[in-house]
Amino acid sequence: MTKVQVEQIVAALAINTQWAALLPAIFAAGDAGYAAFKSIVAALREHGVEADVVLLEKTIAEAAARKQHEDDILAG
Amino acid sequence: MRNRFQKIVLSLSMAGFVLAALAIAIFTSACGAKQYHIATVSVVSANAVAGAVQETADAFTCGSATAPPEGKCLSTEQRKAVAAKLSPAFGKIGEVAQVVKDTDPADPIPDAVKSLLDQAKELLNQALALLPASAQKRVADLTGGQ
Repeated sequence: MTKVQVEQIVAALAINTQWAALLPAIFAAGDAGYAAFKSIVAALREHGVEADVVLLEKTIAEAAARKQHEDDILAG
Repeated sequence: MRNRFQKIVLSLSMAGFVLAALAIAIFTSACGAKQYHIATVSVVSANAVAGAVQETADAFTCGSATAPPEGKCLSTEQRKAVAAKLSPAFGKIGEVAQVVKDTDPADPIPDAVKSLLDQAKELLNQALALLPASAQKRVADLTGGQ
């Protein structure tokens, strides 16, 4: 499963509250469906951590820029 | 979900209470990836609160287009006093973000995270205390406080 696919699933879950309707189809597919379901959950979990890292990197950069602004005032 | 949680956390009250709640949340929650996520939300929220304090201080600095009249705005020296608190606060926030980022999501969040957030909270409270009452109200409005 690609990152783009994971992002599409996350977006679908966010905008479509009827997503649970997909679950019967997944389970109806038996073992293959269950395997697919597990891979989706695992990918979502991985994507969640990736999203956290992106947020942390953004915060590190923003905090540094804001600190620089305060240092400039102190130096000014 | 993240935005919703952040909004709830930010609605608690003023910056100090927000950061105290965030620090508590980290250490009373589940371990592993969930704890990692909560730590991330805490750090991002702390940065948002500190950003609101900074933007308010800038808006209230004498000479800026949005500053209140003379006597109610922050003089250069007063703004420098705020900067002396905000600069290290942003330093702590950047540091804590790096600590969380460097932590394996499967591992417990290091004690340093709570310690650094506590230090950032103290500095932000000190910065807030240096602002005029109307500026403190603006920060409360920006962060969802009363």
